[in-house]
Amino acid sequence: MKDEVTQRHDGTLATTLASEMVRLRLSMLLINDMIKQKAFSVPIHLALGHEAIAVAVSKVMDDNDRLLLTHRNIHYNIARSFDLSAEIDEYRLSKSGQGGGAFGAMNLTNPEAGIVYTSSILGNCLPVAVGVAKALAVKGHESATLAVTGDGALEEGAFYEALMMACSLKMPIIYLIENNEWSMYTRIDERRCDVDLSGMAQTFDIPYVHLEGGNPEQYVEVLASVRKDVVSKSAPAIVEVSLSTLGDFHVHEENKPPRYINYHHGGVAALKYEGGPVIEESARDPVYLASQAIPASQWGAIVASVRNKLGPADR
Amino acid sequence: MTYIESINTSICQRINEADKLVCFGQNITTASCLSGLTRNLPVGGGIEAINTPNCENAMVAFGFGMMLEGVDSIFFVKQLDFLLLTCDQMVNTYNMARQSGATGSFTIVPVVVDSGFEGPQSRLNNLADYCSMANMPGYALADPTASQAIIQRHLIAPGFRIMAPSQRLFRSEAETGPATPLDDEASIFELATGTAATIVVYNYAWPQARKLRADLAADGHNAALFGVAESNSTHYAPILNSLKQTGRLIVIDDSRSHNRPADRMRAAASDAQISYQALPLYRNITPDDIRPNSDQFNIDSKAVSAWLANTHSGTNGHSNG
Repeated sequence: MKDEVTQRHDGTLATTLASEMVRLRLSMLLINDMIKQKAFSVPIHLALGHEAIAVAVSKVMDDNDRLLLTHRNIHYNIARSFDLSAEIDEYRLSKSGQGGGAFGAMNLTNPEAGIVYTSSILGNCLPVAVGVAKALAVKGHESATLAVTGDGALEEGAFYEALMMACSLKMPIIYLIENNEWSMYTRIDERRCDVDLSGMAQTFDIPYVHLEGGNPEQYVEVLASVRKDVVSKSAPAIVEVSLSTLGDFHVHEENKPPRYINYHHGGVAALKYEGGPVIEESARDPVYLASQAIPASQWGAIVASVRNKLGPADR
Repeated sequence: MTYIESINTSICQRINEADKLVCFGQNITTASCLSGLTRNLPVGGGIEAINTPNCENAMVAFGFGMMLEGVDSIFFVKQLDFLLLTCDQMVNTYNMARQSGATGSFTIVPVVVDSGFEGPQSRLNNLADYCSMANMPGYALADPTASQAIIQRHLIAPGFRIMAPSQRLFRSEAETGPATPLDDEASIFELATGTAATIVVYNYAWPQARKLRADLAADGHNAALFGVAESNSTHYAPILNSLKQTGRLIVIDDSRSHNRPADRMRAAASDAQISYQALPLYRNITPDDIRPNSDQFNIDSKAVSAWLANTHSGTNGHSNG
């Protein structure tokens, strides 16, 4: 898959990653339009704003690496596959879907692309990753297992148990925490005490790395280094990435102060495929940041190329 | 040889036949090796034994993770109640593993604490209830002879299952009597033939059922005796065929499960329009029951014999004993 991504574009790594981010963004906006048209019965958790980390993870994965995901898995599934129709068909629970219509959205996997397990249960995939990593070791693969979760799952006992098992058994696992500061509709500071992830990593004597800024090139560089480290030392690491889940909005009601609503799942009324790929001209939007890092003409060509490949919005 | 020595021997023999296998659990190669359950595991070559930390949720997930990748494993657990900490993995991860067509074998071998001296906690004689959560295959290793067939067939085979020995039986004699499997899945066994009644035993009351059958025979009642090892088994045909002949059913279940496999079997008998009289022998569960106590399950053979003497076979209606 890594080579495939590279081969699809002749440009630099930055251009390749930017193109992939646009593909993810426009694919999700296309699906968002379909959600609004009530095309699906299954709940879909869009990951608008999560594109930089998804393309970086996909880029650094080796053939025998494994990826375990959560209910918000759409960005990784798109990053690891170029068949958007198969993904959409899966959301339609069609036999032609990526999982034969047997998994829907929250449990969508793609074993051929290394996505062997997804779970809609908070923290559930983290200890499963230990077993996957062990199986790869039994089979003699020198590979890494990546388990992605959100900041809400850190509060589950499964996170601690998974670290305990992974460290005790010396498993090469990257625990990747997508920290958007929200658990559904509650911010971290509204629901729990502070958790020092770096301190937790120190307790287990494993590396901790913090990513922020939405720069996929930097993410690739760091993740590749962490990946090399966990494989060579056969030990886990924690990577935390700060990001924003876009699609949030304010509710305005008469005689009341505006209420802020975090995006959790479903369609985003204010966003349209045709209006993309940039959602927000701010540092919260990694696609916007990418658009600013690339000459305008080149950016326009990337967007046009991706739109051309994705086809018409009306599916 | 004791019951647990026999179970241990069957387990070790089956593991010896494997090429690659990961055995894991707490204290499985240390001290008493779970009171003999995991003694002398044939470690070496592709067979590994891991003494894990105390994190049952992660351990069950560990097994399912390997199963997803096609690697076989066995998780040995000192007590079934430890698995209460793992319900998410047991239901949700198992559902994903079977939906994904995972090819590895994952077997959990927990000991069912079916004596009551542990008190309000740490006793869970509810294997059928536990397995009902996600329709998991669950085998009660109630009889050494039957267990040998179950272990040979299922300990290492694609898919997931629980097979659980009984703590109460650990030091009992291994020699119990014949147990002939009646299906390829080793889910139901014929322990004796007869026409006076159809006795069906579930959970770990096989010794009591064998004794009852012998006592009834001494009184002139030669009953058929079936042992159902798999709590979700729907292989009712041999039982129903016997019941058509005898018209009298004695069901024995020493568990505390409210999801009684016997109830499903009796529903199947009713669906088949078999006319019979029934004597269910279950525990009388009271609120005081969770105090530390011996939790014995005894059957009054004379009372059962009297019931047989006073009950006509093949009459309509189902009575409760």
